[in-house]
Amino acid sequence: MDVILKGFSAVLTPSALVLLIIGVAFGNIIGFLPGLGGVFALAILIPFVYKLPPYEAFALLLGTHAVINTGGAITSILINCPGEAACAATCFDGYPMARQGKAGVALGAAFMSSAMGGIFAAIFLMVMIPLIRPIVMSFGPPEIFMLIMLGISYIASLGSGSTVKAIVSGLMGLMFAMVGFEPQTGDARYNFGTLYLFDGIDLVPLTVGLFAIGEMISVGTLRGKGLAQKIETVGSFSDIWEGIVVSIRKWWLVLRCSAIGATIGLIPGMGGTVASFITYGFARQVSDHPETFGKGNVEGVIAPESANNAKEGGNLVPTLGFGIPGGAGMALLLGAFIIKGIDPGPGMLKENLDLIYGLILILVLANIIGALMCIALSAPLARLTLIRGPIISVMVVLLCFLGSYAVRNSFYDVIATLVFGILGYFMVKARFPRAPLLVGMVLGKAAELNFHLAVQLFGPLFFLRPISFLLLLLVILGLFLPKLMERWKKRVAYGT
Amino acid sequence: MERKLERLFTWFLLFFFLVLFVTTWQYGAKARLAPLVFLTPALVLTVVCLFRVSRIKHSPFPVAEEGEGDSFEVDAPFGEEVKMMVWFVLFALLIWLVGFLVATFVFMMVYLRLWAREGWVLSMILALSSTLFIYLVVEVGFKIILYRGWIFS
Repeated sequence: MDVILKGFSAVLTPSALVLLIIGVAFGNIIGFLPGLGGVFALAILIPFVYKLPPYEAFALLLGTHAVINTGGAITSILINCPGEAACAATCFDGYPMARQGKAGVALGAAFMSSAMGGIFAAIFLMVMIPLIRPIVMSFGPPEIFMLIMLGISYIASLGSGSTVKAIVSGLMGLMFAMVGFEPQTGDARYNFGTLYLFDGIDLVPLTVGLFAIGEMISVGTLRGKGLAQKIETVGSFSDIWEGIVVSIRKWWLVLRCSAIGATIGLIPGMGGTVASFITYGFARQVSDHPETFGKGNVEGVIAPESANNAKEGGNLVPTLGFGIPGGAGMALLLGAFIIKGIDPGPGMLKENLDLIYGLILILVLANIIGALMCIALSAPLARLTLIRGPIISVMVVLLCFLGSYAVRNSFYDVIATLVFGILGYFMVKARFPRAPLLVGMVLGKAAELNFHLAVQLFGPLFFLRPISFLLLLLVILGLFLPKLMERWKKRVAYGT
Repeated sequence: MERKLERLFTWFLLFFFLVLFVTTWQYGAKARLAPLVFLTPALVLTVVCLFRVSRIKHSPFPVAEEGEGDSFEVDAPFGEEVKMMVWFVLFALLIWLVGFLVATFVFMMVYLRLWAREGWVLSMILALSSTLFIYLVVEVGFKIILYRGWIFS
């Protein structure tokens, strides 16, 4: 109980609350700007983490990440263009509602169900932490190493692209993490004679470049055009209120969809998009009027919105409990923990349990503040989507360069940001996913350390220990099962 | 174009991993163990990727496409995106030459006028406010000494 109170009181300080509000506002803005996502938002904010104390830093980061999908609903409903991929399912019924003059109702329902989903996520996380704690504490170096491999393989195999490319991307990330001094022998590796690489590659230029610069290269080409061309009118506050009431009345649907979302979030690599589409299908199945789905049924807005916010709580379980990020956003959060000297996984459950409870409160507060902010400001905020692409692009690139420079006051970090930006751009063009690279980079040092410890303690066949072997089987299963199932489904569909 | 880029990028990756592989053998047994564990599958899988990409190129029949994977929301022509990249490289070069403050003002003016085709007034306001913002927030607020550039330092 003391730990919970300690965590909660650290979040309820003026500085942490102010940063939480700033984070929520930033998350909402990035959320409804099509083309810019949660990973992008976190990448921009990561440099600021260096200067802030832990609770304040995570209030800013988690506050931003928690509400990305709440803001994303605005553009899904008003312009039929999801601010976030996870909000795509909201378009199916949200936009038809807006065309029928019920945009306010759809927005109210989206914000309320998002908030309820987010609060459910926090409760889910609070329940799960004591349950997984004894399991995590029993893990040794071999298990942790295999767990890291499992995390990378899941993120690689569950994406929509090629698994082979995703694994190559993850391995590239692991190799980036090998740059710099080897932790045990002190050998300087892969610096190619440059002083800059002696300390290794910093996470900030890599993440900022990989996820923000590449995006801005494409956004900057929208000359004379905004991210959106036309916006439907929001409607009056009474419409929004009606949507809020509808969501509360449909609490059972919200609860079930939140539970599905949070459970999906437990599996690394399963994003909010999967959660929202599955729950959209679920809501249609259990609805009294399935024929109205796609034509403006409010249940089609409530289901995906509650699920994609609830997913964050599920995502935090492997991130905090095992140190395995649930996705690219969580990998960045994990990177922020490492920057602040906090070791997610067993170490965190032992020494920083108060911070975990603090994060739970941040999740609750962020979702409430995020929904309130969206209710009050959805109409003026939506107009930001009309800002022309090149203006957004140059402002963001300036922020990226400044953020990277500020970490070590080194101009080389600006160059590194640009290099990783160009790398990220070509990765996208060549259909190599970027998320596994980031996960590999974040987990690389821990992977190497635990690999060496495992070999020293149990020999090169350490992976034959019971739990390690089970995890190895899961890695193999995780890599091949989704593709095998996909092939099987195709065969069934073609009747061969 | 995208297939060509995919092939070129995969070749680049193969070259990158090969360079790392050769370099790794210079290190002591302990320091090279983990990199070799990761590099070996990386090399094999990159070759697999190359084989797949060239199979698509040479096959006279339609080959099953992979999923899209990672993608940008804005689907712009490649030439336009290359121009954007050049703009960003020029921005970094300008920062290196004259530092953050001067580069921000000059670059934003030129970029907004020539590339974004914005009016003089808006370009001036945005360039000036951005320069002021970074000076006041970053240098005065956060007390970070901004890079002054090769010419001024």
